[in-house]
Amino acid sequence: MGLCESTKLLGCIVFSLSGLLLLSTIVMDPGGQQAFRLLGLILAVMSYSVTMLFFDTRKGVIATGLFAGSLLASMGGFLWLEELLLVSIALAGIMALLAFTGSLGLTGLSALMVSGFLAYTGLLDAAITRIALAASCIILGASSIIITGRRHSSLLAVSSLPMLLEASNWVVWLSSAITGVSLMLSQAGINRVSRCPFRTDSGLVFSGILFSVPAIAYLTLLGFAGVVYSIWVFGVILLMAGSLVPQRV
Amino acid sequence: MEGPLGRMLHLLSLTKPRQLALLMLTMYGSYLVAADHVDPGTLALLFLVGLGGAGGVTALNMYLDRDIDGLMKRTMSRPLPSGKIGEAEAMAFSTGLIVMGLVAASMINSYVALAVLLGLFFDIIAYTELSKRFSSLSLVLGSIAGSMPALGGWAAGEGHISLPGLLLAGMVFAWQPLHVWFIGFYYLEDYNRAGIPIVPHGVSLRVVALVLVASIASIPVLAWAFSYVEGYGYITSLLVTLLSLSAIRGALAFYRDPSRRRAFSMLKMASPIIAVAFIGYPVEALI
Repeated sequence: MGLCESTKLLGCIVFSLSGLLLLSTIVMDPGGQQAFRLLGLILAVMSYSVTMLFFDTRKGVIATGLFAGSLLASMGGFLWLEELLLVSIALAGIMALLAFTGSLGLTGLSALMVSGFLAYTGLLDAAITRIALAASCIILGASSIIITGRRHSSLLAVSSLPMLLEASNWVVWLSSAITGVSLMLSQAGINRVSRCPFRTDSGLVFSGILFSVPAIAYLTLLGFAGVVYSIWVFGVILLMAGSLVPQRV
Repeated sequence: MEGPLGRMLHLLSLTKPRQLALLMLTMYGSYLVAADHVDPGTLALLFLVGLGGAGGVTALNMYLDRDIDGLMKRTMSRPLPSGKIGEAEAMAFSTGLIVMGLVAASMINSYVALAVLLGLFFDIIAYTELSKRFSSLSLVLGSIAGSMPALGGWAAGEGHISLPGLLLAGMVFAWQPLHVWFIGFYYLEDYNRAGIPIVPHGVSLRVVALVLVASIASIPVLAWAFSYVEGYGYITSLLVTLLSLSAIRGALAFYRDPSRRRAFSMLKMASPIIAVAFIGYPVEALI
């Protein structure tokens, strides 16, 4: 993978993560705290614009149309339009991910997004949703080995286990998924790419883990708390920051 | 100065105290305008939000930019490139500050926390990591981060984000090209040495002048829109307009004669515009 591909990959990953974040914020909407929904939406828009920088034109145009439609829908405020937003996000994300055929990790991400969407809308019953989630976890674990080149990194998929244990709690499993994927990415997958404009900063990655993992544990065990959720988002941003440290090519 | 006190001062200097003071001014100014009554507890929490959200993010920025800071005369004496403090120390300090800011922000309301997180995302990921070293247009993303304290202050006062708060944040956003681009002009050699494509890299001076004039001209437009929506602040908007017109005149003079001396005078002209706005509106709100 060359410079351009790795940058595209990064853009898509960031977009996918924020798409998941948006899903989680829309689904939970704790006590009508619109701020978190807004946060997810803005991050998704920002990340999407970054992704667009690296897209090829045709897919980009289609995905932009879908995303713009979904944004308009979200502004409408009707429930069915929010579901349309979820569909659009999932479709746009999948289109982005399909640009990189052969990447199991990204296929896992899209599987997560689709299963999340299907479960949210109730199109699948609980048992099938759990199977879809379990499959996503397995793909996540396998892809962490492939991306990082280290067998022990499959342990990172453990961070996704709360999804299975607490499948009824959307905050928990979607947050777990994002943290798991972020951890995987931080395992130097990007650093292995030759002539990549980015490098990994182990200190930042460690800090990201330090904040995001206990936050996930708290959310799993004790339920939602705004401040913990904020710290979890902070941890994820640190993980991203640790994987995207710029360097001269 | 050596010893623990000197070390603490070096750490605090990572927050760029002068820049932090200006960001704090925009945050407190917005809060005072938005709040029905001023709550001392919220004022104290906002200090922690500003120190953590703005200062902590700036410190993290310094950590990420330590390699290029060491290449520029203007920044090579900063604590990290000069070795006065260690990398781990700087990172622990900056992340600690940000967490403190997030906790304080969440204690006020979730919209303030949202502003802190957006500032973090735009400053660190979008500006510093994804665009600063690759595009001269990175300033746009950095300006979004710079406007977040004003938005957070408004959210602290009103309890949510609304149009007047966005207009105030928009003023800070529109003001930043004036501030940052003339720093770039003034220290152009330095930026070239570090390989940072700051304006006018790859862009003609004419385009830069046009964009600058447009961004400065939008400051009074936003100021008058704010006064119209809120129904007060007309004197402040008038002062902002006069200062902005003066800045436009200066920008056009710089276009005709792009010298370091003129860049420096433009640099000095920038801060009063934002200071007048964020002191003037709260004063007029009280009257």
